[in-house]
Amino acid sequence: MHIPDGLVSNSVNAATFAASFGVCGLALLRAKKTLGEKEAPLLGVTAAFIFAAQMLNFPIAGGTSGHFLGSLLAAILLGPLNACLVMAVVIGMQCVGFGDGGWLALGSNIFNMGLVGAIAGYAIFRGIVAVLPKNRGCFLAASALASWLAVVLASACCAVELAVSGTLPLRVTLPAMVGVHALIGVGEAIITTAVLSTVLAVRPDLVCAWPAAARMEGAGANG
Amino acid sequence: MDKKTWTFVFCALAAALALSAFVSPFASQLPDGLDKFIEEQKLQVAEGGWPHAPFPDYKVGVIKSEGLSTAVSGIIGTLAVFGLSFGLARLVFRLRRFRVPVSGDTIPIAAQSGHVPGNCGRIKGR
Repeated sequence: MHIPDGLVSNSVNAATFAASFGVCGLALLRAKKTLGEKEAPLLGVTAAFIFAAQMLNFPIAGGTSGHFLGSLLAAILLGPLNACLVMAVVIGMQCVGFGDGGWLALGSNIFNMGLVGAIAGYAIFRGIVAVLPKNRGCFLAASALASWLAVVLASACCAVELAVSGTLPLRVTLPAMVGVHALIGVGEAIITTAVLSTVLAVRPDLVCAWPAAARMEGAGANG
Repeated sequence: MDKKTWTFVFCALAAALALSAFVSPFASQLPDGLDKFIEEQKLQVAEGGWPHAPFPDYKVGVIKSEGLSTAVSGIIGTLAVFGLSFGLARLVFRLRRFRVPVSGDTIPIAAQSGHVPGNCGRIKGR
C-alpha cells in the first residue's frame, strides 16, 4: 500500500507528514523517559522482522497481491508509541533506500501504514481485549481481529487521502481500496497471530500488551 | 541485559534475515492492492520513488540474477533497519542516563523518571 508520488496532493502529504512527525517526536520524548536497556535491541529486531516480512507479497484473488504491514504487531510487542518509531524507520528506509513509495508521499505512507495501525489499531485491540475473557486464546483472537481492522482502516485512510486530493471521488476509492484490503487483512491477521503466539510461547514477558492484559484481571478495565 | 534476551533477539534477527534471503525472491510479483487500483483507474503516477535510492525496486544494480539481487538487497535492508532502530533506541536510552542531575538528587535518574522496564512506554503512577 505504498503511495507513489503524483497520487496525493502536496497539501495532504504535508498534513500527514506533520502528523507523523509530531507523533514520532512525541514517541521519542516519551521513549527518553521510559525506554529500558532491554527494549533497544527489541525495537531493532521488530523493525528488522517487519521490513523482511513486508517484502513477502502473497497473491490474493484477481491478479493482485498483498503484503504484511505489522503496525499492530509492533504495538502489541513494544507499545503504541514505540511502534510508531519502528514503523517510521521501516517505511523511511523503504523510501530512501529502496525507492518503495514516493518520497513526497512519505508522510502519508508513515501515517497510513504506521500510525493508523499502531494507535487506532492498538486502541481497538485494547478495547476487544477488555471485553473478552482474559486468556491466551482471546488475546490472540483480539490481535487477529484488530490487525485485520488495522489494514482495512489504513486502506480507508489511503482512499480518503486520494479523494481529498481530488484524484478520484470517495465513492470510487473507498469501496475499491477497502474491498481488496479486506482480503489482504486476512493475511495480516494470520501473520500477526502466528508471530504473537510464537513469542508468547517462548518469551511471554517480551510481549508488552500481554502483562497489561493479565493485570486487568485484578485491576479492572483500566489496567 | 540478560543473555536469554540476547538469544531471543539473535534468533528473531536470524529469522528475519532468512525470510529476506530465502523467501523474498519467491514473493508474488503481482501488483499490490493500491498498485492494482492505480492500474485499473489508469492513474498517472511518478515511477520509482526517491531518485537517489541505492537499491531501487529492491534490486542491487550490479547483480544480474533477479532472485539473488532481491535477496541481497533484502539482507542489506533488514540489517540496516535493525541497526538504525537499535541505534536510535540506544541513543535515546543514553540521553536519559546522562541527564544532568539536579542538586540534592539522592535517587538514581532512572528511578526518578518512574521507569519500569518493559512498561510499553507508560510512566509509573499515571
